[in-house]
Amino acid sequence: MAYASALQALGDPTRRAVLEELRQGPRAVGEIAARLPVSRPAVSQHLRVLKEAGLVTERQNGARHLYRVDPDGLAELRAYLEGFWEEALASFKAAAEKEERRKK
Amino acid sequence: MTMTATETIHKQIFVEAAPETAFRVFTENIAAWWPLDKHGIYLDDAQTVTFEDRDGWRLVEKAKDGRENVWGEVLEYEVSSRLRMTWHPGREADDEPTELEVSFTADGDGTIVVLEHRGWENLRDELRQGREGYDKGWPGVLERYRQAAAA
Repeated sequence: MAYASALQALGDPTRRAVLEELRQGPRAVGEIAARLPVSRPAVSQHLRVLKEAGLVTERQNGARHLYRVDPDGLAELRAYLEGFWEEALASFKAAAEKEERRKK
Repeated sequence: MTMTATETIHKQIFVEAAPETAFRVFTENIAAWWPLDKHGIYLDDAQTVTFEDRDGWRLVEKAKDGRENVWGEVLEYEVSSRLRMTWHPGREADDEPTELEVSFTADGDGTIVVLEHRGWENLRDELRQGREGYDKGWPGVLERYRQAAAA
């Protein structure tokens, strides 16, 4: 599923906490690690997953790597899910109506 | 005001079939209508998707080579009326899952089917922002839906 990586990334409570930190504004790895009960390498790992899922972007600012939330990633996930259910339900409707006609 | 609503995906359709038929097709015949080639874990390698009783009902996608992925576990159901289940395709069940609820309500000769996909509240503000962005696209989506329903 196209949205599976984003859902998977958000299934982890620590990753959600990392994302929540980034909601306050762009942060470096060390800043996030200082505010959560998680080591720097673990934060880096979570950020990598979030980035691959399209939920976070990374930008070099001088010597620092800053991470920020990518709102497009989340909007895309939601839009995908909306369209996904619409398509699935339209297909369900057709199947249920066909079955009903068959019974009669 | 709209905070609660923005956290749940809400879809409603009218089906020209009795609730019993609608419920049965949704559950027992899910493989007959689920667009598995486009929406699934295995896509072209997918064989079927089915509800199976394995210490409780589970929705399982199966690949041609025997691989399986459990999409969710049924939490409660009432035949011909409603179904509530966890929803976590592609993820482990112990990850915090989202939740799906589908209800079937008789309306004249047909059934109103309401689908709610929720459990996004943990994502809080980012998700609301994403959702609000998408809400602006709603009139277009509804118009397409109306056309499809009228066709």
